[in-house]
Amino acid sequence: MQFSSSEIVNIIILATCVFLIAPVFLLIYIKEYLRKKRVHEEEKVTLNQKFEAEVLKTRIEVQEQTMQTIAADLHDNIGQLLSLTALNLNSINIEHTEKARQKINNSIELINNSIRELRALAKLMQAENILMMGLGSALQQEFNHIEKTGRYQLIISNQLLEINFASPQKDLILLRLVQEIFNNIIKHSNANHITVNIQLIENHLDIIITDDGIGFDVNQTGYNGLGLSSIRKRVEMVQGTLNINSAVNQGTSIHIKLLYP
Amino acid sequence: MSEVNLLLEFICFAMALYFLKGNNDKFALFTKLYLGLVCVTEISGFMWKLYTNKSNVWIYNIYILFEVLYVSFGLYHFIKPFKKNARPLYISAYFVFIAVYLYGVFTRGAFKFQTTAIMVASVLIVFLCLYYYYNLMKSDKIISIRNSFGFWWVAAVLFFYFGSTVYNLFMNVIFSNKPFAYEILVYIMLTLNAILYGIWSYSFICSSRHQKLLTSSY
Repeated sequence: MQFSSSEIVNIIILATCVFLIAPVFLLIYIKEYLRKKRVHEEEKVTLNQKFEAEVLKTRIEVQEQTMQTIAADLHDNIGQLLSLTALNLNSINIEHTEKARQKINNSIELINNSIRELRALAKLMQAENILMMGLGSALQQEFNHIEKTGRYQLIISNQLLEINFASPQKDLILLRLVQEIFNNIIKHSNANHITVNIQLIENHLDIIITDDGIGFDVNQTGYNGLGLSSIRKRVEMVQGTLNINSAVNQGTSIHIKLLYP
Repeated sequence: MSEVNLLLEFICFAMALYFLKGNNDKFALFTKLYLGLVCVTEISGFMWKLYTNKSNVWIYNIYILFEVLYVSFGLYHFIKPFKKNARPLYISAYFVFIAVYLYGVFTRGAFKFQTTAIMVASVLIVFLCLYYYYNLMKSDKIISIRNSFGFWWVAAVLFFYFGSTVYNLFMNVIFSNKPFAYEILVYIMLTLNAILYGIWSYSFICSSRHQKLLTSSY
């Protein structure tokens, strides 16, 4: 087959154009790919910053909660014990030796009680340090504190007490989550019995908190009312799932499931 | 035509001298030296032909040794941040080219254009350019393409060597049998040179911007 001169020239021009167009498209593709990669990285950084900010907020909330508990305890418990001690000591008449000894013994007993309460408070003050002992211990401390009020009957099954690993950021958020759920129960539920079941199966953590309170209509309230929005947001932060079962006068059951550690 | 080519090369050389003046990198120094060599080669070839009326191919045969060396070094320089231990690949590629080149010199003589060696060098360089982009895409590092010296420098090399495939393929046939198509090949080479030196000049501007950014951040 013979090509004419103009045909050869056309072939050369066409082929060169093809060989120049190919790199153009290749570079456009690479440029687009790298742009998307950059956007993705920026999104990752933003998400990370949000997470860090939320952890900081959670830490402050945990501290606030601890402070409130300490203030209430100082006022209602230790304050009362010390007032009673002062009253007791003021009423001592040293001329009545036997009565005085009895009152002094009572006062010593009251002071010893105050010291015990103060020690318990000191433990609470280390709310963040407590996480160093593990989430299981921190949660147990919370449960003990609520149980001590005598207002609720608690049935606790806490498998986290048996583990020796941790996830510092998740632990802080989970501690705050449980605190918020208990705050809700105390504020709104009017419950008498609370059941807490914490299970760790392989690397899945299940936290189920059930109460026998007045409950609420989940369909009407949704997951945003009654302080549930912050619970939902925190569950999302630890990439877990939240399931709330409740009905009016039938109590509430909150189930949180996530990968742990 | 060779005047236009020379003008393009001079502009690129001037751009390199101006925009890479603050860049103390080894590669920036080699770039200035190489572009200077390009201009010297072009003038020498032009003068040789003019005054002796003999073929100047031997000048270009020497020049391509430096051309491939510079391009290989450049590609290695830009892939280094993305790929560790890439040096053996680049050295091997250069030695493959040298082997084909020497074979060509011994079989065809030093006064014939080493088209096979140039073809082999083109294939190797295109492969190394694509290897650079592959590693750039794979890397976790994020670069701003608009101001990336490496991205544009390699893009120019890819355009030139991939685009010159047809030129290289047809060159031998056309020079001997189809002199009518010679002119079109000259135009193609001029276009390719314009693309190469144009994008390289832009890459030097990118380097200068990057240098300014670095000095302003101190």
